[in-house]
Amino acid sequence: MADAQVIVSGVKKSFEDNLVLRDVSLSLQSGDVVAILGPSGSGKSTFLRCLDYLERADAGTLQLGNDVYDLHDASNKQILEVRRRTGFVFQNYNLFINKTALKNVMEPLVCAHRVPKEDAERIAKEALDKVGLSDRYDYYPSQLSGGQQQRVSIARAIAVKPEVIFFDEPTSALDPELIGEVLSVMKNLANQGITMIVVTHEMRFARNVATHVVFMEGGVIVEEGSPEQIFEHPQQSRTRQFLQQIADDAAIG
Amino acid sequence: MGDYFTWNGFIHFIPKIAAQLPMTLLIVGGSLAIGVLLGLLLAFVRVFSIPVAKQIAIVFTSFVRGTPEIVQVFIVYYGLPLLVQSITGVDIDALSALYFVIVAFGINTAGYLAELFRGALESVPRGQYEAGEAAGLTRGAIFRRIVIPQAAKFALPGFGVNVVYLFQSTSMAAAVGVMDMMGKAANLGSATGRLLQSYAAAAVLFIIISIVLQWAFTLLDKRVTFGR
Repeated sequence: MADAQVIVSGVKKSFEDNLVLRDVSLSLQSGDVVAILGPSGSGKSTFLRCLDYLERADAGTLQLGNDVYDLHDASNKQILEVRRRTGFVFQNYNLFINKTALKNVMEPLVCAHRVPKEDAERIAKEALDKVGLSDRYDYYPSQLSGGQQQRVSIARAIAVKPEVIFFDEPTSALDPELIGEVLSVMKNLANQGITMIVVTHEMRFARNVATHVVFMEGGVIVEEGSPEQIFEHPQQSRTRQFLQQIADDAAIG
Repeated sequence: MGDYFTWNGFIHFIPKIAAQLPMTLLIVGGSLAIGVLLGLLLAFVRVFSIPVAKQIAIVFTSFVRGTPEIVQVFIVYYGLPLLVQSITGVDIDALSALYFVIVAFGINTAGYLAELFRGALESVPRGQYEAGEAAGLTRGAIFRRIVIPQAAKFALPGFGVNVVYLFQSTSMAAAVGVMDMMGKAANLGSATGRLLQSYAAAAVLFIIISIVLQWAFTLLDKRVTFGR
């Protein structure tokens, strides 16, 4: 893994007495799409949020290229740097409600990356075109469906050309009929070689799009491997149980 | 009745009282400037829970909201010169009453706006901050570009109510001799013996201007929608 692009190691986090992450490490090459699966409460969202300093880890490091960042102890400057080198897509989209789709995508470009306005506008339009929203530049979030809002938020993340994008259950807040449009945008990104870590409950996405699948439970990585390994030949009984449970639920639904 | 009130005299008084509108608006504008700045400061102190300052802010707002405005006007008018002199040795007693009135209404407005602003700031969802953080915005930029515009929209209707209320409260400035619309009405009334006539004329002016102010804020509120 000498040329790994993103290396996360030894992330620990507890909330008061509750140990949420015991010791989580992960390594990605450029272009990898890692899907993190696991039951709720397994710590997978917290893990992702720690990487962007949205939660402060008790220990752990994040390496981007040749730069290593301490996830527990970092200066404001380092935190901004990590956030500017990465993208984050939230479950609830979190678009800036006082700004149009175009301005939402321009905001990090202009305000964090100091891109001149005209260039930012061109880049933002390209990003919105990429997620299929070329006819929604001037719409406010309140005028967009959940799926459209999530696609704007993906455009906002990719516009700054981050080294890796973190997706925190990007389809969990969506109505079932809107999930497909978001997943297909994410699949396009994967095909373009964008490095992604995706916390998700979408088994088909994990199976068909991810290059690497991680199963987490109780704050540790129980098992990881290629989608084929995890879905066809899981080694751990907990992984098998989890996948079985999902399959049963799907059969009932 | 003819001795106290004639329609002719009433109409005759209106332009004379209206001539002092600039003075009334000066009090409103000056107090609003103080009220907004001090109110914002107090709101941020509460939102960020800054120790000591937070307690002072709480005491300040309960004082402002728990005492009659006319009392506040008198306390500032008679007390501020003493306070300033004992601290700095400068005698400001000779300053025009107008300044004291602006300070008094500024402080009063700040007390009410602080609570309004605090509620508005706290109404901005946590996710908006997080989205700004994840985008790599500085804390200042998050407040300037994301949080404050959203909070302002939320506070706008209440702000309009406060401005109309302030406009009407300025009538108390006359109690310390400021020649605003109300001061002029009192003057005309006692000089001519037609108090009812002059106060009725003042009432009509206050109503008209209050309605215009309310209408302006409603219009503004409808224009700032964020697409809703």
